[in-house]
Amino acid sequence: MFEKAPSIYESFNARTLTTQELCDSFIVSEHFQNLASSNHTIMIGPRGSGKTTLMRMLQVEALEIWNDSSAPKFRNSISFSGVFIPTDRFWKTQFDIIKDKVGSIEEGGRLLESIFVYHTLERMASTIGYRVAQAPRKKNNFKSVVIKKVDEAELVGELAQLWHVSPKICSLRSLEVSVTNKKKEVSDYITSSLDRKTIGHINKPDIVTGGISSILGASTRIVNSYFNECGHKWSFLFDELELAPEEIIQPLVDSMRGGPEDVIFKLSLSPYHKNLEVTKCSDSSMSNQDLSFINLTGNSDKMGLEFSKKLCSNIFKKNNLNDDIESYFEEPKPFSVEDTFRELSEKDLTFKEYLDDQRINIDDIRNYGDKNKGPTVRKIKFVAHLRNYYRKESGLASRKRPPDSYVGFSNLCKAMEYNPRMLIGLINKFISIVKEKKTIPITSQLECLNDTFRSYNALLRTIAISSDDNSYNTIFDLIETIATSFKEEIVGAQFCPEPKGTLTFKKDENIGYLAAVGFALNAGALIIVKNSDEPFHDFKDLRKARCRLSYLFSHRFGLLTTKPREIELVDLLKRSNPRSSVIKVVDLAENNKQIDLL
Amino acid sequence: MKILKSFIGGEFDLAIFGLGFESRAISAFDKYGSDCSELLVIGYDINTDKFSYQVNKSKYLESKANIIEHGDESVSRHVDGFLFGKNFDGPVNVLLDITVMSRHRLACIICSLMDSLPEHSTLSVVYTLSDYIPPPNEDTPIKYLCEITSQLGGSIGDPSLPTSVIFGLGYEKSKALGVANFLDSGFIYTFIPKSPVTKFETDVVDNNKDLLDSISSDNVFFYDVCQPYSTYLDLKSLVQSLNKFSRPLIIPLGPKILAVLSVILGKELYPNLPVWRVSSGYSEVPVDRPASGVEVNFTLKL
Repeated sequence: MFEKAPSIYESFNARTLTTQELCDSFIVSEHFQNLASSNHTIMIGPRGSGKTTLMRMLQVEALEIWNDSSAPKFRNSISFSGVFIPTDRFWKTQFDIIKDKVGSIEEGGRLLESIFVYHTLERMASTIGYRVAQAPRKKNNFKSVVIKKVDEAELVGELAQLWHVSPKICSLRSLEVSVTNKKKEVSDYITSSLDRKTIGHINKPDIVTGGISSILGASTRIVNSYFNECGHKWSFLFDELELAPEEIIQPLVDSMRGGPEDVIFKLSLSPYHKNLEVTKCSDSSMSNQDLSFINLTGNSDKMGLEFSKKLCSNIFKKNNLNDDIESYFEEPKPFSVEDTFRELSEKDLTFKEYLDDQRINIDDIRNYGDKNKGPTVRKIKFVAHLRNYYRKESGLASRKRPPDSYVGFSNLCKAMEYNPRMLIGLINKFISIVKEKKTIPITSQLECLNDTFRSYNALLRTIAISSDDNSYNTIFDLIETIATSFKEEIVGAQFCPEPKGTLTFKKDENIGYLAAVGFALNAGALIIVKNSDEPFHDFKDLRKARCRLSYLFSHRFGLLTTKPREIELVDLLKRSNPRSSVIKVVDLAENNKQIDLL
Repeated sequence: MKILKSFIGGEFDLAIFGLGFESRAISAFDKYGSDCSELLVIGYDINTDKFSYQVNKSKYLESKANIIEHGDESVSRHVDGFLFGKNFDGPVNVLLDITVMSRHRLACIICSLMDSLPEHSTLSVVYTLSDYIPPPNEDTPIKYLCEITSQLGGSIGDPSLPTSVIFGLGYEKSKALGVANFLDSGFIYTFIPKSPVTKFETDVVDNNKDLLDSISSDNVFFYDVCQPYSTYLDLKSLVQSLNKFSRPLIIPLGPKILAVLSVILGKELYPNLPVWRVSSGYSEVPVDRPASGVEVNFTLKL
């Protein structure tokens, strides 16, 4: 009756695309070039930032069938065989629930963990099989290997012995099937052992021994030996590693400091999670030459826009919209600095006083250069523009529509933080408008931007937090407080040429809020501001970080889309809610206990 | 076991009713109480001073019912103990009124009954639909997401397979969206209730707009709350289809009749169909729900 039907939601989720679909829609970015290096890599980014796509594109199969003009360059330069290992939050939640129960089973914890190890080995077996397969569809023969049947049989035998599996015949395909069956055997054993009716019905499975890193090291050595590829690297691409069992994660991270020599680990993670030590290591092997970090958030506008143009153009072209993508969007008219300053100084005495103090003469603005007030004018013009828009003579105007300056193609992409999933969601909304009107009017752009904002807020409102004064119930409450405070810096009673608009967490009193900040980072509502002197912020220690609000909030709250001055989070929150000192996050993953419900 | 096309009424050897603060709590008892040889009434240990709880309790007391009042965490143990003491020597006919039972509670009781009742017994389930009550205005952030009962947690499953989540949608704003966001699952399917109290349906669609907008209309199903047999068949058909390429998970929000059907299906397909529940916890404010006059019922033959 029911057949599987891909949905819009699924098309936003790289995990559910076929490899061919993934390759057809893939856009090369600087991040992919960095990820394709032969270093151990840790990549961080919130939901939808493209982690899965980037990881999947390093699989042997993806690189084989990828047909883009830049594909040959990557096929030539990538020296490793990529093995993609997906994770899944539902599976992890099930794992955690069952983990609490398997204490009663002999070696229950080890058996449970072995399912993830076999999951990894299954993917490795699949990749080995793909490399050996002589499929007629293989045009590029990327990492293809030819081995004799007798060698294949021997290889399967060696791996089967190491992995404690029993393939029915000595073929790589049978090896993969035997690993799949082993996962089921272990899962069935655990399930039956936890049920008093079936306990003892299934024999305890024989499972692989040793840590995941050493098993992968031994496996790659065996495969390299039979492939006659001594020293060939195998890259294990662990997607959303925080969803792997905790007992697996830290050993994997530790393996980046002197693990098996033929193995490269590439791990993708959300920006914040507890209980994981990644960068806090004084070991010299953690220097940048051995381990590279990729932060998918806070991209430069140049890099982000270039990527967004390619991504959005692809979507438009699939809908037979072949012109330059930017030409479809009505662009806002640039505002006149002179007019803005003149209007604002007439209705805002504090602004007029600031101009007088700075000896800025509105009539001379066009003549100011870099050595003569030009930098000051540039610094304050956007603040003045927003302040002028939101103020009327007697104070704040009740404007519902944001200023036009937030839209236009490049501004919309910036508002989406160049996040692929959000860009795809937004750009799809415009297709029917273009087909009807040829050009997307500013009003329609604002409507779609508001629609995206509203949907995103709906998500944030489902993420529970709690505070000691009950003023914060969801992540959105926290974000709204921050955004409102930042807006007040711009439109408040006193003109402020450098309003505060980023957050720091240096004071000890911030500790009570850091978990909530971490959740906001993972949701993409807060973005870590990159420091040019430091390629990567230690996400474990948020107190060193500086964050801003996602630009998706800018149009709604009338905020700057630059990186304004910083304020300590605790100072901002005390100003809004003096009684609040702790915000607790509600971690669903840890809340899986039975409760009284009505 | 199978769900019968028609509800079997008549005499019941045992009836289990719920005791709660909602005024509709007593409706099924009013209708079937006199047809039952033995009555077990299961109440709560919280909110016993709210709305009609004490009035309802006195009515049960008048009928000399066996009343137990416990929290969800221990009710299962008490029901198991009660059923163990019965020593059934042949098939029995049991009535279960789920109207004011929490999802966890009804799941525990149904699992206990399915495990304890002799083969060929019948379990007739009744549910009194409530009149329209507007959904809560405030946000309902998700605080608890876990198995509906430990017996329906399912197996660990294969991490290679994507997750398919089947939501029974309720009318609380964006509740399902929050879970969908948390799980970030590969595939999402929704079941929207249609009932004689039509205002509910409008609220369900409006308050799940963001989720419904994000999935294909092919993945959106409607079910008639008053037709549990056909809903069960649809649900089973979908789950069996999803099992071929993914790990299905059911999260029955909305009318409890879908929760019961999910529990029965979860039990039938165990361990391949985990059934989960979601809650905002104690922040959910008690609300009285009067009876609409519509009863939904079905019979399960064991």
